[in-house]
Amino acid sequence: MNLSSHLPILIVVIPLIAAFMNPLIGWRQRKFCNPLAVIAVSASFCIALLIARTVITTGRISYHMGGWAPPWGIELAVDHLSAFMCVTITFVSLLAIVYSKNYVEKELAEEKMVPYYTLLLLLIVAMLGIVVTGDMFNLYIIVEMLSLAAYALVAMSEEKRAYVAAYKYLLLGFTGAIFILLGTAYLYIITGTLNMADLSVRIQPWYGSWVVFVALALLMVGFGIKTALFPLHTWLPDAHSIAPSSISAVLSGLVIKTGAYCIIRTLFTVFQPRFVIEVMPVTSALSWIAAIAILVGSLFAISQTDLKWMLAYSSVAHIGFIVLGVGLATGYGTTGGILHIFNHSMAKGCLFLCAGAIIYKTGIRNIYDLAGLGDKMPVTMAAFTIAAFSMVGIPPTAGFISKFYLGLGALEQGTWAGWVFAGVILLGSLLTAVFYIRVVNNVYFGERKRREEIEKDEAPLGMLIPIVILAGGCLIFGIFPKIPLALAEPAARLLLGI
Amino acid sequence: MNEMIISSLPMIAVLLPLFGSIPVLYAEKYVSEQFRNALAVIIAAITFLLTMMMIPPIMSGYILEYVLISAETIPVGVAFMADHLGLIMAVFTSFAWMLATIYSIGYMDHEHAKNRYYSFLILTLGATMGIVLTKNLFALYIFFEMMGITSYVLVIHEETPEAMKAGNKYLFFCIGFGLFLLLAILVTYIIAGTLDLGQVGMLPHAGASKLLYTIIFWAFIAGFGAKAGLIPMHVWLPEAHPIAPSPASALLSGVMIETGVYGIIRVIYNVFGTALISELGVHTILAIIAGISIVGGSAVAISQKEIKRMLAYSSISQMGYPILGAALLTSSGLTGAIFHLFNHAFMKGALFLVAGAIIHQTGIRNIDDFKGMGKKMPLTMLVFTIAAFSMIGVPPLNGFMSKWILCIGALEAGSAVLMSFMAVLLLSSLMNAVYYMPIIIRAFLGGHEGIGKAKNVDPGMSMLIPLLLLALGCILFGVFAILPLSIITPAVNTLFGV
Repeated sequence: MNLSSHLPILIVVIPLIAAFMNPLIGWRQRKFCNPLAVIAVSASFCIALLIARTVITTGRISYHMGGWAPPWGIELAVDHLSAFMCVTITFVSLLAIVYSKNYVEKELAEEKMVPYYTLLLLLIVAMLGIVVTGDMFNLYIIVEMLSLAAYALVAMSEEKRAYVAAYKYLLLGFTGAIFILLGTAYLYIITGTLNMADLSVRIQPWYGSWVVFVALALLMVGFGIKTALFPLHTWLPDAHSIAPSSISAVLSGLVIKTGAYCIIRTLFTVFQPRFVIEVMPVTSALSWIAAIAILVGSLFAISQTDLKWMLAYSSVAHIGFIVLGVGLATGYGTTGGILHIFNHSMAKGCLFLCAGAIIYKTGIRNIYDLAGLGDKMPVTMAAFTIAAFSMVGIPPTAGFISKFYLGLGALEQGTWAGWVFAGVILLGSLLTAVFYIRVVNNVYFGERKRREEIEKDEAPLGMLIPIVILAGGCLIFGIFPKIPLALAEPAARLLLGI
Repeated sequence: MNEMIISSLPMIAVLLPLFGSIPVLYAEKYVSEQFRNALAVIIAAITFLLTMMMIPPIMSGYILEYVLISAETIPVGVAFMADHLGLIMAVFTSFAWMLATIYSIGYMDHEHAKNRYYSFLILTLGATMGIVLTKNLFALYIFFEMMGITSYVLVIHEETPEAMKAGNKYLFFCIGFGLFLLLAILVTYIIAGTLDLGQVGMLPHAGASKLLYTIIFWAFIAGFGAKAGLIPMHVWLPEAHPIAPSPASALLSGVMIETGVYGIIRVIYNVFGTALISELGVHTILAIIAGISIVGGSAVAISQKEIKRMLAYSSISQMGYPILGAALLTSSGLTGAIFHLFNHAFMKGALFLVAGAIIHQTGIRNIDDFKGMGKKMPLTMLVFTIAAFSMIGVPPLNGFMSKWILCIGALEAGSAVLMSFMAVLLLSSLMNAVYYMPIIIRAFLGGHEGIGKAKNVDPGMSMLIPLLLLALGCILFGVFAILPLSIITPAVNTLFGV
């Protein structure tokens, strides 16, 4: 076996090793923590690209841990969706780590630097583990690992409020974990297997049984909490707004998306599309819940005056967009949902990093105090504007493409519900426009800012470059949507079996 | 059917100003203010030249086309096309834009944020050219939204609280009603499987129920009509158009709202086709709404005291004419509609630029204070008189010609309801006279008390030349109506599938 066949395990193991080396190196010299993390995640990013290429050319990769064939051994299964997630996760988290260097030095106490990088690396390892594993029990374990790292990272800021937020996150997160564990256990009891591919075959005779219904319901609630799907979102605004901004970007951009990934996996890989669409209409139930999430999340976001709270509530709405797209279970709709994972993680990542840069330079968190920042931090605010446009779905940004696909998917259903969903998608983007454009307006225009002359004062380059790359991504993938669609479209078709 | 040839001219005419706006933004910083102004004028002039270069091949029966992003992997592509209808729109758009840019040099002399102004002026030119030179509805929507957002920056240029308020209204009308348009486009794509504007009547007769088609039609009308200031979606217009700097007002009122009507023409003839429209019977209702717009806009204009507000209400009324003409479904009606769009750009452009010249030179905005203006600014008021006479419909000016053709179109329509619109057209001309004539009379005959000290305060050359050229256009295209009609007639024939 040559090295290239080990790609699925390497992408996880490299940052894992780095995570364990981190305390050792940090013990000697703190300043080496950041380069180590950058190198490890860059390696993962390259591997993710290789995996994406392999998957596009040869299809699904199945890697048997230790050479044990499934269902006895542990299988790592990388299909189009996993590859798509791998690229998204490594791309955004790499930029977040690069950004962290300057940010953490100022915002966190010095002795917290080592645990910060260790936990962040573990968080990334866990996210990658979730998307490559082909085993239900592994999935549960890694989801827990992800959550533990996330709790600790939320509590990282010095403020008292951070502990409260982390505690709230932890309480709800553990409740979710119990649901996931129970659901997995139910499935194991009736089928005697935990391998996803094996499970999906063995579970089919049980499709009429209540055990399966309950198991699916438990899994949906559990992953629903992890992904902060309305009404299980209550932990998110606290946790995402109080965490250091680089962490907020990863949490809002990626961590909640892994929950959405788990929902997709459970619905379409563990169970069959036929079952979740027709026998037990989970997908349409999810769509309705997601539609409410879009509206409620946006309305809450409108009422916020704190920039990071606003961004956090906007994530609740946009998780709604993703889950709605998945729940539509149509070719365009699911493609749109999956595509929105990528587009939203770039846009929201960029927005949180911008918020971090604003806090870094000025300490401002209130959106009404941002007046004049357009002159003070022109690059940051230009990136913010592009990312905000992408969130609203204004062409030619990436967000428009996913909105377009979601709209097409809703109408493709051909039912009255589809029309309602299309209406919600469009109304949701109008509501999103309300709060993002308010910020952009405050930043650039208005009489208040003209009274004083403003000096240009940008964040350091290490923070600016990730911001600019993410904003550039929002534009480039809006103009050339073929690039992410090359993975997202086959991913959706394979999952739905169409 | 016209033959198609591949030519990058339409694409360059769109992309040149789009990308040209970037050097304009930085020209002052790195070179000089004069260079920036010259650069803006040159870009606008080259765009105009490019459209002129498109005339010979199109007049000899070709359609210019260029596919930028093909529609293979994503459902809809971006392609540029110049046919007769697009060409006539592009010609007056780029011409009026060039003049407004030249005018801006004088008018904006003492304003703030000029870099932003010129850059967005050119950017908006690119978006507007994109609307009229695109081959499919998808790209049209993209440019349409882009125009709305970039012109927002022009509307709120003053950044006073009133400007911000008007701008907000403008922006949310753009985005909100833009979503209706997006919905309509999505449904059209689901039903027709194409968004290609090269064909006549893309929606198949048996494709969907009558009710659904009616809903799509009104969603389209909501999207485009809001931009055209069709009553009752006109609320933003009288606030947004007057508050912008006058050259921007001239473009907003003279060119940009006409893209809404252009969209309506495309919807009626390219998306639905005359047969389907007359089967649905929606055109009569649209004609009635347009009739209400014509009379209503004029009625409110009569009571206005502020010159730019009066002109804005007059625009609402004037946009009713071409919508009415398009809704008549007769070839004379459509000819009149397109011709009136052409003429209105000259007339309203001239009137707003005159209003700007008066405000710039004397600071007078209230029409009661116009006494003796004819003595103070003889050339400016001469231009005003010509354009106003053209508005009223005095032969042989161009406004008369298009109204005349519209009247013939109404008579051709056959049904009693549609024929009665001739009365509306005549009534409206009378109302135009009611609010334009007093200004002219007051300017030239009133206010003898100040005659002794009145000295000539006509504006400088950069403002005067565009005014005179527009007035000349009003006369020229009235006397030689054959010039624009030689492009419009084939456009109408194509749209009727002859």
